Amino acid sequence: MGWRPHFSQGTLHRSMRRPSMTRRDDSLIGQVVAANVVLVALTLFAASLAAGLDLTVSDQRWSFLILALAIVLTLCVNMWMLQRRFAPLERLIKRIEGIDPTEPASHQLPAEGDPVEEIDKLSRSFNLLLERIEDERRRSGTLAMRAQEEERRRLARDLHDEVNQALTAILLRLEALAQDSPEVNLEEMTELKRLVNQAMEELLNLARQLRPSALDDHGLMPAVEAQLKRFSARTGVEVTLSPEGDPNSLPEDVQTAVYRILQEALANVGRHAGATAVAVEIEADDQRLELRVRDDGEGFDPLAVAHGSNGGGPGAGLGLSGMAERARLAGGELDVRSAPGGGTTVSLHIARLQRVPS
Amino acid sequence: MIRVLIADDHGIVRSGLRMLIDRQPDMEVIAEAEDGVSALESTQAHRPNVAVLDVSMPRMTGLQAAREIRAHAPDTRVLMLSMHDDERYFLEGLEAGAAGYVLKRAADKDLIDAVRTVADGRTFLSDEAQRVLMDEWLEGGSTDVDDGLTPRELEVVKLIAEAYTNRQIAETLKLSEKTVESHRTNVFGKLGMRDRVEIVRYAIRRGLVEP
Repeated sequence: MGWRPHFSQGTLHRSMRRPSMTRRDDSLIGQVVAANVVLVALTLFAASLAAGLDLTVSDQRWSFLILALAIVLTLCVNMWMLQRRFAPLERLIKRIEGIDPTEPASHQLPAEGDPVEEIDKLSRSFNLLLERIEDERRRSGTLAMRAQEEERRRLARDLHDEVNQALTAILLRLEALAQDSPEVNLEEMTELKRLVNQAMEELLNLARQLRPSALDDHGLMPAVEAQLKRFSARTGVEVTLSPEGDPNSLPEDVQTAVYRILQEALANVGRHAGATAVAVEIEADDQRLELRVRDDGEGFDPLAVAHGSNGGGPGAGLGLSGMAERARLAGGELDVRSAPGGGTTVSLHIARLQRVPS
Repeated sequence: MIRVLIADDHGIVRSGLRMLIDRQPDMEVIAEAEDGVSALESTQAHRPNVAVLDVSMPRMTGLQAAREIRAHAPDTRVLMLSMHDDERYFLEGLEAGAAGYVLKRAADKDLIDAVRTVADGRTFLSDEAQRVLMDEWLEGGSTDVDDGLTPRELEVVKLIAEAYTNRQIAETLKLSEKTVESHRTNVFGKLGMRDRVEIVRYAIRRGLVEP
């Protein structure tokens, strides 16, 4: 969408004939210059008629040449001035084109003042538009996230309350039966009970992954403690937790975000890192929240992962973009630092806790 | 004969419990309840030896019902029955004054044992709960922590952890309720704790109560 105009007549004609948004010759500046050319040419033509200039008379050819030079000069100055005037507009266009739709807020145009009033207004209203888009995006993202959590909660509860209760009943009845069944059946009864038991345990784990009831019953910190203990028991990785402040008073969406990001970070440690120790720090007060998950594992090359995440190459599936999205929706940002051989640190930072628009 | 009340909001679980308990020669189910409120009413009406309460029930949770039973029908021993195996749930059960905690998925092995044990005046924890609480105890096992509690305050901590009410603590320690109240405030303040569950955990760490 460059606007640098061409000087050839043919181009000017074409652009005046059929304006179109896509062709570079149809830029605003091109059209203005073309209009100016026509006006100046007409004026000169009229002037030369009025002055009675005659090309056939050789004296007057000089006058005519001077007039022609004046036209060219006027147009050049005109071009130059217009280019300068239109430069902020061009910058604005470049910025708009460069906006990443997943992160419009980070592309705010400079808030104050372009000397040209219209450009200034345009920047401002564009920033407002960006804000509104970002608000709307966060709102719908938050709603989607809430709906997802709600659905998971419902599923987890159903597994817990319906399926597992039925299994409990089966287990109790089996035990009652086993108590007075003949000796020969005992082994089979024991095996049956073991199978029921195993099914219950698997359902419980499934329900917990979907949505741990501790998060709703006890709040963030007990849920986190339980999660870390289970992680440590499952993987043998040593885990330390240093909490500061009162994370339990955080808004529910933020608690969920912290829990889920931690869950994903730990899953990555368990799957990829080959770590022996993980340190989890959570600091919270009324205003801000910090979560840091540090491991001493192999680490990875963040750039390779950033590229791999599109193409399914190495590092894809770390869930980094999902974590970052959660962080954004909670009003914060995610920072992942890692280097091959140097461990990985995942941090969630929320500078200004706020209720998400709902 | 051990007289048992069973409370669970799932009919199928209640019938399973009844089937198993009634089969024992030394036990009988004398009442069933499907929520916390009717569990409490039933307990007051029938005075069972043991009340088996599901932790999560409508109207009044099993935990709350356990507290109420502890306060209004102290002769009935409470056995919590739960799906949850997180430490915090065990601690809450103990804090609510339950004498035992049985996981539903270990109910075949543990339930009958547990009913007998608590009816006998002792405490029952399923293996899982014991393991978790022992870990807790070992982790915080150093008893030389100087938390600035006086011996009297430690006694109060122990009784709080065992779900005694202020009045019961006052009777046990031969103090006025006011004094107990101020001890309690001091203890929470010195330890920087917010609720009784944390006190229970602390008491386990200090070895004041047995997991």
